[in-house]
Amino acid sequence: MGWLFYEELFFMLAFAGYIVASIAFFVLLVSSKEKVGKFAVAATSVGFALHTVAMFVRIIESGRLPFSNQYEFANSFTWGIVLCYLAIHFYYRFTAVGAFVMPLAFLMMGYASLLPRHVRPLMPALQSRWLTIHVGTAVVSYGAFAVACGLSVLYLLNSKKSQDNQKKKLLPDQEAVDFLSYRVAAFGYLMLTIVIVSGAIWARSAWSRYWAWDPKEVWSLITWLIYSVYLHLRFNRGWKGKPAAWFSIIGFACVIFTFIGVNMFLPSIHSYV
Amino acid sequence: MNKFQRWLFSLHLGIVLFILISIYAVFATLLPQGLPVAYYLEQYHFGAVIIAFGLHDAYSSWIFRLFMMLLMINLTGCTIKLIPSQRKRYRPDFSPSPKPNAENLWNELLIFDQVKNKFSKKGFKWFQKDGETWGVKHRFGVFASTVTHIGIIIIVMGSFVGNFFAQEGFFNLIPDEQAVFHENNFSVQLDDFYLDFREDNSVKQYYCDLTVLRNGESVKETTIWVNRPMKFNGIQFYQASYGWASRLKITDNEGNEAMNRFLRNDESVFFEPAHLTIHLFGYFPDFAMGHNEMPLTMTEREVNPHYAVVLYHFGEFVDSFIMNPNQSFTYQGYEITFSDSVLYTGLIYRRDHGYYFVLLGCFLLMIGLIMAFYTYPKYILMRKNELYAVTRQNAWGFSMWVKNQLKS
Ligand code: HEM
Repeated sequence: MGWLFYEELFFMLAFAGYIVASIAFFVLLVSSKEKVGKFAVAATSVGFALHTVAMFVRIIESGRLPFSNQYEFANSFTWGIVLCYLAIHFYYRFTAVGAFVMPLAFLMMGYASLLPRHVRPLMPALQSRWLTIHVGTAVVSYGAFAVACGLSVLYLLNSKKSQDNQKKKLLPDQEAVDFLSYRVAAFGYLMLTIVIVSGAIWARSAWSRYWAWDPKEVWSLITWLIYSVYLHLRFNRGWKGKPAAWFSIIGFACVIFTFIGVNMFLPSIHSYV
Repeated sequence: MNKFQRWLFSLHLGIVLFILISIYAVFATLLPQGLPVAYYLEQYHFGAVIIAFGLHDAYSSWIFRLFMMLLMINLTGCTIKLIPSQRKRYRPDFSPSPKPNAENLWNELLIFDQVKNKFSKKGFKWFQKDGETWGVKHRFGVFASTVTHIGIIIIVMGSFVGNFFAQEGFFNLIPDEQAVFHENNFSVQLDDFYLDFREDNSVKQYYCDLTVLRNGESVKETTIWVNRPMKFNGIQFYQASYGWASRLKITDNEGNEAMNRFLRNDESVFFEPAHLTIHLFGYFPDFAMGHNEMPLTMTEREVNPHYAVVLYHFGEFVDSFIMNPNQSFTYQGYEITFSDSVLYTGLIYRRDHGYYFVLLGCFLLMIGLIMAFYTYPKYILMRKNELYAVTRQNAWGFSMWVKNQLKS
């Protein structure tokens, strides 16, 4: 049996792991049982491990990083989201955030599963070492923005509900959520800056112009501008809480449009990713 | 500063501009760019609005330039305005003040000098004045926003000035042909152009062997491919496209050669003696007939070469042929053949010194962001039975870190 079979097998197992984790996180929100939270995190971790195996199989099979078409990127993006979530969880112990991040991961993976997954050789324009930096940082950046968005949703929902004591213990303190969402978005913003800069350097060596106002470029710039506004308002105007949370959700919507919408609706020389 | 200046250099205007630029760019990506004005007027209900706002050529329109110019003025003014206060905060004797609602992290178990020692080891430097003691780290971080903003200014100005002076063009060459750059007194000769195939006959890479000649002498020889341009005299040369060129030969009925030249795919030539226009519709190295009766090629390998040729007489269609290199056809006593197909290459060249400024700006921008998000100034302020973690950028994260440090 070929590599592709094993890749698909592990991909599906990881997918199942993420579904189970998403459900468990919701049960956690409703029931507030600590055990459920532990189980949800365990399911996420197992799913992540399986996902990593699937990615490795593909890397061995194709001899390169899985960065060069919509399927591979959606798949890596999912991996980036879960990676960022787990990093945050193990550093800050914010279990409940998973309830808002894992569904994003699961949706993105669902999208990946609908796309053709043949291993194609790299077309000449993609044969560049900048591919690794450009797409590698994009995966991390998008993952961070997804987590920041999940944190913002958590913040908004949490500020509506009256909090009983049990829930309070489970959900992190609102102020912490707010701040963390800012820090994660700032990290994503730094990574996005590297994505754009490395893309410009690469474009100059492949297409002669470092910036050509291609729709994908323009949309990543728009995303970057939105997050610039967000950071300035937070830093200088003391924007916090609800308006900031909404801004971070809008920013993430831009990220998604840059990734999926531009390919679907706008003609672009970036048509492979 | 008067009221107008205050507004011109305010963050408020900066944010308004960011949002305006974003909205403008969203519209621009929804419209095809750079087509003739008539197209927009015919195709869109709001054609006149599109033209008035320059959205048909958005990134060189007056409105976009106005936005960018305002942004530059705004950002420059704002950055200069901030420098004095940053220099003040940079001074070693600048003493921080905690926010009114700041949490006092002091507890009974702590010993003043131990705390100082502990944080000294983490890179904090201690100062003392008027009964206050404070440790500071990453003081240079106060300049983060200035570095970032200067980066942006260099990027925008560099790209604008660079584009203004940029030199750009396209040429295509058949092997042994030259492109002459009179102004710079050199020419570029294509020695060879070839494709590298994979097993499935798809193209893996395109290669050009180039020689640069000056006064007839070779001064540089190199091979370029996609992602690996040649640089000469500040000009970059890029492998951009390719196609086939085929030799057209016409002989009269006495066997004299009446024409011998290369035609590129989709190129026509007028043959005066017979008033005949010969249009090479295409050369198909691996010929097949598509289902809509259109010829096509399966791969770029010369497996089954064929030519599709169309003839016109005084602009009227006469005939069309599909033939291979050994075949010929005759028209009014002239024998016409196609053979010796070669690949030609399309090269883009561009000279743009603005790029180096943009790179410098990007570098500053990234350094500035790292300073702003990670090496921002951090203070630990101690009075009798009081201890505060003070910072502007990341109050929560920093005080959490300080708390963790104090616990251990
Ligand atoms: C896209 C362009 C811009 C970028 C990337 C940028 C980036 C930054 C960064 C990283 C900071 C430090 C803030 C922090 O630590 O969170 C900052 C601060 C600031 N920015 Fe910008 N900025 C940009 C444009 C502007 C514009 C157009 C204005 C408006 C005039 C502006 C006004 C300010 C101000 C007033 C500060 C506070 C500085 C301080 O208190 O030291 N920025 N900017």
